[in-house]
Amino acid sequence: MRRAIAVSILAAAGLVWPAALRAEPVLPWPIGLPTPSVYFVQSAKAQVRSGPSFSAPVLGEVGRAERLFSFSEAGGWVKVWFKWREGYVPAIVLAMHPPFPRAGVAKAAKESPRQMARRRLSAISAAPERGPGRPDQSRPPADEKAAYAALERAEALGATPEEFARFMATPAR
Amino acid sequence: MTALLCALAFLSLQAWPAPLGAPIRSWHERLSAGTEESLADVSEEVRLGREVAARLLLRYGPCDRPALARYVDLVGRSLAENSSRPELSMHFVLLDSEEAAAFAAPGGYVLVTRGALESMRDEAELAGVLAHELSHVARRHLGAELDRRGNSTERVSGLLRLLGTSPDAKHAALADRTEQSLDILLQSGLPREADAQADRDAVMLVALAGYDPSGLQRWLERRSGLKDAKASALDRTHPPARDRVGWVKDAIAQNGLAGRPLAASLSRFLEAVNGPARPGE
Repeated sequence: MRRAIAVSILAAAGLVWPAALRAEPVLPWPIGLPTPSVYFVQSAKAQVRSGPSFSAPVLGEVGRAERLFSFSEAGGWVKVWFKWREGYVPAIVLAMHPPFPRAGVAKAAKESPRQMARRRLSAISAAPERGPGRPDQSRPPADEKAAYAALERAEALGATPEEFARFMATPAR
Repeated sequence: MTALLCALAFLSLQAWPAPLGAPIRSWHERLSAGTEESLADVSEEVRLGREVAARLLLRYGPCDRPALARYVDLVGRSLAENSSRPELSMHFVLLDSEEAAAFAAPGGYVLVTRGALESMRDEAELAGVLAHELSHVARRHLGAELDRRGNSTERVSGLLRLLGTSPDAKHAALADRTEQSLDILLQSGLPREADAQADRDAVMLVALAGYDPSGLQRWLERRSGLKDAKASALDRTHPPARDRVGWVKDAIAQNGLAGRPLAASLSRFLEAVNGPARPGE
């Protein structure tokens, strides 16, 4: 019995160790088998189907940031391992990195209309330094300020989370 | 017994997808290091997108129908739930123009004209058009085209970061990229393959959101029959509508969507489009 356990441990170590030494991806994967690609679900949720088609039965559902292992991708579907069997997920809802946070992006990129207009003005004043400017860049900043303000209004006009929740709860007919 | 234990050891490895030990931490470290850089690039993408969206608003003007604008935003956001870019706040903006046009600015800005909306007959058609533009955003098609033209956002911003160039020069570089983007969106268009991919993605996105994917096909078929179609920016900057109908039909057939009873949402669409046309509705 002890011998059997020792042999099993050695066998498991043999399976794990060489795979752990590989640079990418770092997974305990048996020697000789093709290494899987790792995908992360990016959509709020995604259905896993038994075939690469919307008419195939649904095996289950996965949520955002969930990790899936795959060996192949074809025709807009990724073949993944799901609950001990083969499943298919649309490639457009997956990426090979975990979902990025949204807050940092918005904070870094969003300027007020005044900041945008000031930046635009400084771009116009810098135009002669880089050679002949395009005629479009000589547009009066007042118009542009109005456009930036319109953009901010359009961003603010979007539906509230409550309105969106109500919309999603009403099935399209 | 040995075989059984070996099998159990093997199966336990298969059931343990999480990486193990020190090498795994380093994998996460590498990913985190990459994330910081990627987020800087996404921020640049959003900055460019806001600039392009503002210039399109300057050209066409915002549509003064808040309820209709909110409706377009709701339909768009229902599609964006299945987008592969959750880091982007998607904005769907309604432009005040009779010309039928839709644009995808980088960083999550999709703009559609009132004229395009009035040429549609149900919500599934609107969803199809918005999903096509959403695919351009998600796949960074405009950024790839700028890259091809030698004006990569990433390359320029990376270079400027390295050289520590003056703010004025950075602003001028952004203004340059904005002009290039507008030229692509309004005149030259994206490569044909990008539009084919966006149409295939659109079929998937609308189906995932529960809409009838043949909505886009119906709308394109009607556009291919228009005599003055060339007058619209949309037709000028996209492949011929009959080619696009073919791509959409193929995608519907390949993904098992033909004949499936999915929603077109006629009543909700008519209610939104025919609603009050004055501000403060």
